[in-house]
Amino acid sequence: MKKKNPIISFFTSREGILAIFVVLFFVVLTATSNLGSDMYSFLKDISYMIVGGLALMLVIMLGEIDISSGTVLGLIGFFTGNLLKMGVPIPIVVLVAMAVGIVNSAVIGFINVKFKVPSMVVSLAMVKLHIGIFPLLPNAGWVSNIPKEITAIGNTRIAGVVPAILIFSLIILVFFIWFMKYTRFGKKIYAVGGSKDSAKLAGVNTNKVVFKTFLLSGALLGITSIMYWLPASQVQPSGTNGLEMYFIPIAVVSGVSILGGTGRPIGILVSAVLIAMLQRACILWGLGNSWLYLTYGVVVLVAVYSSVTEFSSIFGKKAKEYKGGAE
Amino acid sequence: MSTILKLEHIYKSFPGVKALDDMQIELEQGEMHAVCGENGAGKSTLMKVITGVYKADNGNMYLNGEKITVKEPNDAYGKGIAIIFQETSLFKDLTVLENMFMGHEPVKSICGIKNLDYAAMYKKADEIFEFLGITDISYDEKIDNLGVAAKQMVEIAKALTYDANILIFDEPTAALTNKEVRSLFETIARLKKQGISMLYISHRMEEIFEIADRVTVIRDGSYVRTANIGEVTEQQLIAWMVGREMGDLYPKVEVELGEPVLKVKNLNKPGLLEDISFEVRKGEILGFAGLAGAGRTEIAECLCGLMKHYSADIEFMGKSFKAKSYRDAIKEGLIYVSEDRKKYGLVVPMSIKENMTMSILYRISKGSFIDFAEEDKTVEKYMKDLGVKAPDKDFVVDNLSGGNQQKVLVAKALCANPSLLILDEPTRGVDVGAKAEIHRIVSNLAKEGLSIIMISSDMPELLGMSDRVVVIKNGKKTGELERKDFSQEQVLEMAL
Repeated sequence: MKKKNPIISFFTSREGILAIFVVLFFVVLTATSNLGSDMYSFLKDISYMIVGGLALMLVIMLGEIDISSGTVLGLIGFFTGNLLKMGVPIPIVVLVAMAVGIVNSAVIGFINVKFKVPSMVVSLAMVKLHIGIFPLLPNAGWVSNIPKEITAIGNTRIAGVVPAILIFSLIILVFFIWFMKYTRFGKKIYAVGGSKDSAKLAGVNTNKVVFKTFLLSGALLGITSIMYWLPASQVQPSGTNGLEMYFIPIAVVSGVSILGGTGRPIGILVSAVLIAMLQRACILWGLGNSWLYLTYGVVVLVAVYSSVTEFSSIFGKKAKEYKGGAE
Repeated sequence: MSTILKLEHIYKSFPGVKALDDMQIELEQGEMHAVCGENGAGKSTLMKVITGVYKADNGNMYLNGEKITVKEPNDAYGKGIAIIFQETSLFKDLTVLENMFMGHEPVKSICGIKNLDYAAMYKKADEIFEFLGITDISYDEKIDNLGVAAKQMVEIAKALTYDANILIFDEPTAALTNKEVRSLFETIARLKKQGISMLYISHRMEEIFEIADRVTVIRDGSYVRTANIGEVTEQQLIAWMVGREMGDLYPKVEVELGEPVLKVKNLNKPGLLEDISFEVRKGEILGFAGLAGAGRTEIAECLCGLMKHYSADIEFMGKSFKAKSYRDAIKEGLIYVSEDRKKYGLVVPMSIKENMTMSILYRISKGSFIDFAEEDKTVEKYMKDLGVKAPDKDFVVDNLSGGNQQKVLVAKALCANPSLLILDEPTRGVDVGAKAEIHRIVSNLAKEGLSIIMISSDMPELLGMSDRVVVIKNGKKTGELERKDFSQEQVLEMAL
């Protein structure tokens, strides 16, 4: 039986076409601006965007969402920042960050599975909980005076421009490429997102899959928070509010259908670079936030449209029917 | 030959419906066993009980003489029982290979971590594809890009990945072309040669006689009988399927028929309907008989503008008529009452009153404001006329019984002052008492001069109520019978 050539099939896929576009954009951007001198912070942004994008990819693939993925990063940052100040070793702090992320996502997953409340609503409530609970915490406020040595670890560079955290985030990416393709659980995520009914008929415990996937997503958000705050000299918890509006577009632009069932981790890499680049372009070309947001809006609309329609069908053929599930 | 699978005393009920009532079936090693019965006889429910999709309320199941329980689909697969579903249960965004092994992928350990073993999957898939003689499906193709027949082949291949020795086909030929049916039958012959036992649900007589060894007939959720295929005739099977006699349950009132209200000539809809012509007279109840999916609902949808791209000469109330949208049809007085009342009929979280007047707000409003006195008057009249049992007119429709919901739906249609009413399965999911009431209402409406087209899969109901019956099969009209010539056997023969 014939198998497709993997190289050809990648460059004719959504991710491949996106990758070609990203490379072209990158060439134009470096040629017309001084991105080269700003390369380090550009790559630093990409690092946390990849992991945050993966976290959202997982839940969106189930047909769910996590709007609280921005605010929770600030809350995690507040805990971890204080721990770092107290001199707790970084590996333990990372574990704490993951634990807080997991607890947050577990709440969303549990309420979603147990009480059948859409995750959109639960996570919207979580946003307000995060913002509301923060002033009640002891020592609430910015965490400043984080020791220089720790910030320096967060800013470790390899070969002068490559942030060490980018390497970590690429390792995580490779892990998920393997995870989605080579584990049963990875396949179950696709199955449940594609059609819950069919998944049940295939003997998949759909509730368990949804809950566990939320846990996984929470752990990733913990890591995202570390990657975001570790290089910074102070933690300003409200600074991450709204980051979900990067992560969700990253997932959607990469080809994760908002209806669930599709998506590949490799696409997250490509679209994280794209979104980070759009952000840079608007700064470097001096266009300002207004243009940045306008561009985002258009990119996300196009991405959502193309993820619920067949790639070829954008040019003429009929759009896929708006319904989740197998036929 | 020995019995491989045996079910006895199976009971299964859903709220308000007894789906299976002391059902039994015996499948022998290596045989092709057909299961037939009318729409709603309980065939699919029985198969779902066997495969663990539904749990039987009561009953015993034996595999190779051993008593087994099947609690969920995985149990059935583990015991080598697999089903090829009517609507394919494949994941459209995943590849053929991923679908075949979903939920039971072979794994191998690398450094203690379980990895999916793609090499093993390809190897097994190769074996299965070779066995089934599939050459034109690529493992890496997305299901979405496959046709119906190819999807079905993948379903069969998927069933074989479980090493199934009992396969269940649920109306596999419903969506296939003749050529595809032939190739499916070749596949089935191969499976049979390998000693795989098969249950085959169908109501296509010619298929049953072609491929089955034995046949079990079920009716109204009960077992009727099992016979060797060589020892029965088509007429006998039909007689067993029908079984019931028409009682006095259907209070059809004789009505003096008037002029034709609707004349339809050569209704064509590519792929669905072919050259259908009929007419309905004033005060007449015209029944549409046929199997589920024969095209009866589609005819109704064409008439009232819910379906586009058809061709026909339609004359309604003496004028040439072609509805561009359902709004047009309502204005002209042609009202369609859908078979799916919760999806297309009622807005269930809203009240009886709001539902009833939804399509006539323009008539009971002064300018932009609803005239509530007028609205109340209209609603109260119909609630009384139709005998809707509810505490008051502001009662939420969702909390009504099926029969009362149906009455609200009919009232909503009547509010629009129709000249022709199309009732699609008006008594589906309604209990016996409410059913009789709805029949009485329909009869009275016809007596008052309303023309009615009634689509129903309930044969005694259809024959009891109609003045004339048009039989539809595969999108074609296969017969038209006057009331005096009615017999269930005859209608069924035309429909099958």
